[in-house]
Amino acid sequence: MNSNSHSTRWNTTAPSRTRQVCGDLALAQHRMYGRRLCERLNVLVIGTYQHLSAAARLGSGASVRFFASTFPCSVRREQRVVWLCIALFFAPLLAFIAAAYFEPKWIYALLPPEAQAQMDAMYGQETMDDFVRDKFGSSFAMFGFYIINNVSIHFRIFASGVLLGAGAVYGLGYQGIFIGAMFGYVHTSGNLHRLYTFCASHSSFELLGFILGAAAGVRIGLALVHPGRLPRVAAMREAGKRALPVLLGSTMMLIAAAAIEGFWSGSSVPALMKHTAGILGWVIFTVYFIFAGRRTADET
Amino acid sequence: MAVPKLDTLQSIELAEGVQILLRPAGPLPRAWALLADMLLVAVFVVVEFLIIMLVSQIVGIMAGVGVWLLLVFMTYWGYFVLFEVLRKGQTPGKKMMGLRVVCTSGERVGWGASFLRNLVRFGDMMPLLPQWQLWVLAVGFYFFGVASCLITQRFQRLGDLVADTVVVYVREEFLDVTAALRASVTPSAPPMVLTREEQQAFIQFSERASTWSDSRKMEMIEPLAPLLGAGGHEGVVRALAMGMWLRES
Repeated sequence: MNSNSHSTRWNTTAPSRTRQVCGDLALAQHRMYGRRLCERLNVLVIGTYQHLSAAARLGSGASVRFFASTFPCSVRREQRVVWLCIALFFAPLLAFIAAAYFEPKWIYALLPPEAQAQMDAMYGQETMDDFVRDKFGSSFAMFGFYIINNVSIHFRIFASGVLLGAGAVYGLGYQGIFIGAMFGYVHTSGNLHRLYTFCASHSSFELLGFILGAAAGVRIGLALVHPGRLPRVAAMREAGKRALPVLLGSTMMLIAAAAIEGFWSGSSVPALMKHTAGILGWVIFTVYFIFAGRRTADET
Repeated sequence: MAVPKLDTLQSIELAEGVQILLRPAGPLPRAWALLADMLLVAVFVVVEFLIIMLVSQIVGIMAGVGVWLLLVFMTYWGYFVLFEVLRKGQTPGKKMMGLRVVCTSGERVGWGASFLRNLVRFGDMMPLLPQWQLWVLAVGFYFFGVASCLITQRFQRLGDLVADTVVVYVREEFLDVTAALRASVTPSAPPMVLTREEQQAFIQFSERASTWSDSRKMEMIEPLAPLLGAGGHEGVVRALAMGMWLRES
């Protein structure tokens, strides 16, 4: 109550006080009233300025607008980088799955024996098609693990993209190669039905999320390599502004992926439903990124 | 012709028509602030673990582990963002060192800028310490961050460059060292009309003189010897006298 009335009083008098202290600072600087006084007024002006320029509140309208137009438009604006990252990820992934049929020794060379044993335990021929993670607590533990593991990897791939884009290219290629090798391994000698039933539902969210996060990082890294008409520092700043919506949206996609992977993919939902959900996910995201927000003014 | 600046102060003109001066902080105080923040993050993680151990007696160990992992994730990636946005640009470590993150325009940092600069922190950290490349609590040498700080004029690490922010000192610089000078130097008027910047230079010289060695003071006065009519020790005394006079007039 007390603090409330205090802040109300502050807010009604803030404009006049700001003008007052700005006037004082201008006068003191002009007449050179000594360093000490000028610094004191400088700190006061910075304080009032900081108070007046408080961060804008995040309303629900903002988040709807973000997903309806800002996010897909930003992805389209960066589509060259996004296509590059799609190629960087899917080329090794598909190559290693294909290797299962042509040169399986590539896969055996890449996956250490422990990883092979682990894949056998999870997706080997003898494993059952059903999923036994129906206890809520266990699903929640997996959800927490997927969040901390996947979203951290996602953040790191983005952040290392700032280093001339090299880190994101490496991280994305690494993920593509190893996921490809693991899938390829199951293709050579495993229970494919079990693997794809588990991965189908969250695949679109997770893979596209990783790719878009990496694209946001590469965008910033490329600004340093190829700044165009801007000075390099300004180019980085502009790239940061353009990459931020892509990064935020892709982070949301990965959080959704972790929820699906934790609570749905491992549950006892019929396989047909999981496959349908997976295909729907890819179709919806494709349509979303191509068409969403085209009619709004966000597109430039 | 642009005169090379003598200091690191960043002058920004506000819409109100006044200039404010931001004093960017260098790598060393920021490193201390970071160390304090990292310790605090570690403390948070341990405290969360202890609380979850108690709670999981009720909700079951697996759900407890899930909640703990979520909390660790939010602490590690959210600590800096939440404090910087909600505590006016100050994490506890920065507060301890008297620092604050602001936009280069002098505004408060928002959610977007803080999120960006703290995610890119991971790029600044590189190369990582080999034994700390665990999935969460990565710790690095901050080679790229420090290199970027030293190259840029405003001591900005890569995250600051991307998010357009700068870490500045909060408080004004109190250098009340003139009391001792006042006893030993008698103020005297400068022999010619000086511009505002020149006057400021003399005033600041007299205010900060006691923080430098004698030879450094003489070195700084050297180019002014013709103007002062003397070099060396006598030149320093005359410059100080002029500074005192300008300051008190």
